[in-house]
Amino acid sequence: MLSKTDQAKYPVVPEAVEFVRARGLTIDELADRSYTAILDRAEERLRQAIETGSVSSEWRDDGVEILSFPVAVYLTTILQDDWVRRRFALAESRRASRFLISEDAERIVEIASRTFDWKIQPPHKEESRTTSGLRIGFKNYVRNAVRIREPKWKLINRQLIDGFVQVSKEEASRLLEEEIQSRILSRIGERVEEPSFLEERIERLRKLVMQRKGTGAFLELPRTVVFAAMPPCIRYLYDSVQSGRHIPHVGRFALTCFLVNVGASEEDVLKLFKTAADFDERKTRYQVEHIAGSKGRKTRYTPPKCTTLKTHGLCISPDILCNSIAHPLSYYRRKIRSVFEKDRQHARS
Amino acid sequence: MQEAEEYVERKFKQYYEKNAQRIRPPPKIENREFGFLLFREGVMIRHKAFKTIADLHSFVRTTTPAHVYNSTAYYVDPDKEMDKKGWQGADLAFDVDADHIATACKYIHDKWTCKSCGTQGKGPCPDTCPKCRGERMDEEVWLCEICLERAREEVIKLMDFLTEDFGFSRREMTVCFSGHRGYHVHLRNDEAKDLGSDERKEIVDYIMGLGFDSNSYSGLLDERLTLGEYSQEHRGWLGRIRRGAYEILTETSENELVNWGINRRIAKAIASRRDELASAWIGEAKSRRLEGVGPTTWKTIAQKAMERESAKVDTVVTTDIHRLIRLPETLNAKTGLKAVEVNIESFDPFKDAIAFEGEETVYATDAPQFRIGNQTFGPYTNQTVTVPTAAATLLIAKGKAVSKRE
Repeated sequence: MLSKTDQAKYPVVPEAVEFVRARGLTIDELADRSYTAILDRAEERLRQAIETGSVSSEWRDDGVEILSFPVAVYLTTILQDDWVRRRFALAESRRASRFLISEDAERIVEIASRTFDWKIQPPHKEESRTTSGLRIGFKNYVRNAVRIREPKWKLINRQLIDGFVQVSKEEASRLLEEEIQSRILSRIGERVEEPSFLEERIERLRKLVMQRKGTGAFLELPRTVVFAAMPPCIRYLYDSVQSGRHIPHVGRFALTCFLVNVGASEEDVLKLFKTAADFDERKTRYQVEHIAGSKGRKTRYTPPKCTTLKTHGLCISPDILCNSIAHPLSYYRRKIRSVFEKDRQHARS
Repeated sequence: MQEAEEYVERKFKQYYEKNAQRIRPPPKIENREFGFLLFREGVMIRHKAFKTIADLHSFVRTTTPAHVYNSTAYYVDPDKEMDKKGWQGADLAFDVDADHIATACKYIHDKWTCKSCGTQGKGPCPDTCPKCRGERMDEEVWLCEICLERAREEVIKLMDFLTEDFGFSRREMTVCFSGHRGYHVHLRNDEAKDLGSDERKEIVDYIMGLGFDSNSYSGLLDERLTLGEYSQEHRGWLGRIRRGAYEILTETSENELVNWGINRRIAKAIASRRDELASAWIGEAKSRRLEGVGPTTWKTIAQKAMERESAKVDTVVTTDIHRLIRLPETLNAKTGLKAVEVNIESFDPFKDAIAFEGEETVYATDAPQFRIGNQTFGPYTNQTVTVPTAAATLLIAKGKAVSKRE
């Protein structure tokens, strides 16, 4: 059983959720001055998330700490911003992770199995001398490990036996951090009305978001395709189509997605594929329109990420920049930035 | 070609009139999408749904499809368009196909022709014509015993991964012969059902040995920085790597080791002490320390062992969670053979997948040797032969014979 302090550390555990439910707090009640401390902490949680990407791990009152979490989730919902959602979930999961790291294996097993229904086994007594490892069901493992990029997290680089992956206590808490992050993301709602008594707080947070976004992290891409900035894989696919070489379906999909995402028009893409020997205008147009989002689901597809391209054998001659990105579009953005940087220096000299 | 298609369609029609009811429903038939490729003009009918197996039977009987597929996925409304179907999960499916396996016999029985300049060659079809760089190629592949046997071995390896490493039970798996050059493995299990595409990709990478990083693999080398010995207790990839390395050490020539990037001096040392090393691997000899063989070489050998022990599956089929896959007990128009659920240990495609009875007389133009049941036929060049209907259909479907209509 988790104590009040534990619940304050991990506000997603069932005990904390139950504590909040039992209090039966309503939105209107929050307007009452006796709840100021909770609102303050909730706003602070979100502010810290936006500013530093991490929520502080000190507090005075367990009850306030527990109750401020769902209120912070509520504030995040009001803000209606994807970046804030992700940032808040990340910051809160990092906060939880700082506590998890010092927990013993039994506590980690307890949280993972009771909150997230993980298949997880503590180390065997006789083994604990040598491995001190935990065993996690491969599905729980994979679901969270796919979001971590280092090669050691890939399932292939793990010992997997009878459906269980062997991990250290530290690795288990890292995976739990990912799980907590998705849980928080899923708790942030779609849309809620903004009560008037929160106006001031929301306004402050909105300003903060604007400031953060204004710092250049959100560079707009140029409107036309910059060929010099294409990653090697896309460049290869592009050259292949142009020279009439056959490329597999996944390759065509990746190329088309990439092009429509960096400013090529549907007509441009069609023209490119016209050189292909097995070009079927009707079929190609249909596919391009669906990928670009002008037909069908009306959402524009993004190209597959690097690991997916690798699986399908489409990661061709990666270069140094490829080591530091996980998605062909990030390559393109980074490269553009450096191309512009050079241009600017050129202009000056 | 038209004539050949009509012949195969006629045979299929006769077959389905009698045997359509042998098609068994996939689990939860009402939640599956069905697809049919028709003989005429290669029209594909998708987004079909059937409430009962009887409805499917009568559809197959009346349309005589060349190929019948059903979704690996379960949908709320399988007959709606893709975005409105309501995905509820999917079986974990694997496709093992001789197309993805390099066999030497492909240079005997597979042919390609460039449609632009007419250049011909044997073996796997190149992407572009080596002569005119043309890209339109005609490919003729044969289903041969050696290729199918290799595919069968891959299936056995795959099933070992699924049971030993992933902990699934054999009872949750069905293996089907595709009626052409490969096998499908379906895994139906509640845990696997809601795996997303990214998660399935990790499973594929694991089985294919993709993304292996010898520096990140914990416990790959022992405290003496060697691969360590192999014992029965080693399971998972570690066991496979050690088993594979043992085979490599006993089989690989000095030159091949050098080709892998191993220093000539070290390669020589390994090759000259092959027997000793091999017995050290299985714990029969004491010393397995080799002068000059360090962690880098061991890692190269581990990588090669991994390539050898991995199972070759089609990466797209497993990661596509909306995939259509061939339905067992339906006919494959590329061969006239039946897709069937099989017991992989004892299955004989040239016996257990035969759909037709009787005999036919055909004019065989150019056919390699093949077997139907216990009888061997061919090779044939421009001759009239009387063969079992299954053999005749295979030859005609493959464009290696024309029917002699009386």
